[in-house]
Amino acid sequence: MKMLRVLDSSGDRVITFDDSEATALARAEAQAVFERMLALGSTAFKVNRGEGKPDEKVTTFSTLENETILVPRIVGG
Amino acid sequence: MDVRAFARLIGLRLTRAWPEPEDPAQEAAHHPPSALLAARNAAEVRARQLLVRLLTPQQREDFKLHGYFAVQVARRGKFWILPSSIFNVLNAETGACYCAAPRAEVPLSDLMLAQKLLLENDPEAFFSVANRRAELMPGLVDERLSPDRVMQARRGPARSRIRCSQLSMIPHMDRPRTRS
Repeated sequence: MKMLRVLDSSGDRVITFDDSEATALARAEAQAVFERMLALGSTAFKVNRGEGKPDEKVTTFSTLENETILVPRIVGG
Repeated sequence: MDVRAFARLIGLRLTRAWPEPEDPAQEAAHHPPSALLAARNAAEVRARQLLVRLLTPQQREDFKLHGYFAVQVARRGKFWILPSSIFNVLNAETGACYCAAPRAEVPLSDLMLAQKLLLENDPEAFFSVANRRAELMPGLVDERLSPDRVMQARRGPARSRIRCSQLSMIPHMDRPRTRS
């Protein structure tokens, strides 16, 4: 299963999906959220990748791995 | 002017400087209800669990001991991420503090996680929007102590900024005019 975590005021919102038919709706939702948020300036990172692989920025939905964090657009404070 | 009139004028000035909130919604924003506080606490707990899980062992140890941790930024060196919502990214070498945060409201631990991920994997995205201010003089404080110094200074008594116009409570009327 893959996990997309969107940071928000509740901590984070999680969408879980995989490539099976059973999670087609969740996958479509995850893809819509991912693409909409990136278009609005958010940044996504692959985390918790296993085998000592470092976290990595990701820009395409098809290359998501186990867990992805979506950071909302950042602004200077 | 008699004492009562003088007191009335001072009261008027204070009311102008710190007006009473009349709108109930504005009042609620100043004093959020307990349900909202509980939701905020729950969000912070959830965010903290995520942050602790995604830190490296060294960062996790620092975070549990001190409440802050260090990140290594490519070509820029070491930065401390402090548990504060403003100017909380401290350059360990120069003492400069940077401020950039998600536009959406997120718990403090989510803010720290977002900054860690950006600084380690996409630092230009962070520095291109971050505001910067000098907080420590470089070289004056031991590098390891500098996050503590910044946090200590921020916990100290607040130095409020006052406008010149707020300084004088003496009414301008009835002041004797000087003739040239």
